[in-house]
Amino acid sequence: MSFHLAPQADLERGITTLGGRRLVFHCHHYNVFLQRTIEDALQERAPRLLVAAGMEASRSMLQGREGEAQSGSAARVLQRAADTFAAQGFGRVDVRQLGEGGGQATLDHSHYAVGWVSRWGKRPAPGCFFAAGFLAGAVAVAYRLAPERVTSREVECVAAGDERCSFRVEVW
Amino acid sequence: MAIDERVIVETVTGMGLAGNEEGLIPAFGLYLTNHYADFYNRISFGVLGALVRENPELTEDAVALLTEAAHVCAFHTFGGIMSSVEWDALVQPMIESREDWVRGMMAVVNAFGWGRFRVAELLPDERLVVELRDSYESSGYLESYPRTDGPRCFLANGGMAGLMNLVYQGDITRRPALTEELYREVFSDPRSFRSRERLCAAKGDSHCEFVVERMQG
Repeated sequence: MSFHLAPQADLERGITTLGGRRLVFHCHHYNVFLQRTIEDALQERAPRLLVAAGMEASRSMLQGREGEAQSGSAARVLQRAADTFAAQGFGRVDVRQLGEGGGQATLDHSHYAVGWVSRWGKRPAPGCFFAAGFLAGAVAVAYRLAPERVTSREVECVAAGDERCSFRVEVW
Repeated sequence: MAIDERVIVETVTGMGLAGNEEGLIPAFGLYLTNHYADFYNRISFGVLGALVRENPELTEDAVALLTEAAHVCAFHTFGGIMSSVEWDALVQPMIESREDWVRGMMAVVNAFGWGRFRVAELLPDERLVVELRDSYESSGYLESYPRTDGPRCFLANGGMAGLMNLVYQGDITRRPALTEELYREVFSDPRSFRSRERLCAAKGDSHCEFVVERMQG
């Protein structure tokens, strides 16, 4: 990541920001435990909250950051989003098959899948909800789409026994 | 040598914790993320709101769920850090007493973006009072919700109890394996530490404050 896209730390206040939004370090134990807590509590409603929160958070950051970065092409915005995602520790996502109409993305070494499996083993259904939301937010920002026009869901997940994590992003 | 918070914060910040070739951040024996405060706040306050709206009598249970997640966070994150080679290199040489384990960990946390923690009072094996300014939970809450009657820093609150439990209940200074069995043993002990958030910016206080004491088991 180039310097102007790196997180900014205010050591006196204990605050780190990127694109004007706060970042906080947390580990896989907390991330997957909190997700499981929410899934247990909300059952079938949980994915909607988790994906929407991921989209909202990433969209806010990416909008702020792209305002600073003089965006360039949508493909470059998407690639910067993928690079940021990896720098933040969420895994390596391939966004080259995403476009204005949505598309497919694959994710290697998903933090949430790796964390879930290391803690509890496999789960019955895909579990990388944050990543799904992040991708929807990235497409919305790259193509300047209203957020309600973009949806995303994980169709394959390492934590559910698949060979890799993959996502279907749709634009309505 | 006493705990030098500035050195610890600057060193941890300067470690450049960022994704490797796999896009993961392995550090302190954990996989870290430099995650969005907005995400944690939305899902935590979202689930709390949903549960309380539907079953107001479950408010305490909902808070307990989020507190439990914070205990798990503290046990593994703080425990992993205090058992790591990075701790041995940076913090251990500054430690002169068991209480320095608490102060040293607090300094590390001040590099994690959670806000600025300050130990206001520490009575060995008995009581900890911590002030927190710029809490990501309370400031995030006020961005999206009106001022509340009750505290909202569930992660920080449970984290402070977890820290005291690691140091005085689980004796992290002896580097025990951070197993589920140890977690249950430490946190289910009737005299283990619990924290309450006495002040919270989300309810209009100038800052957040946590008081950690042993339960009266």
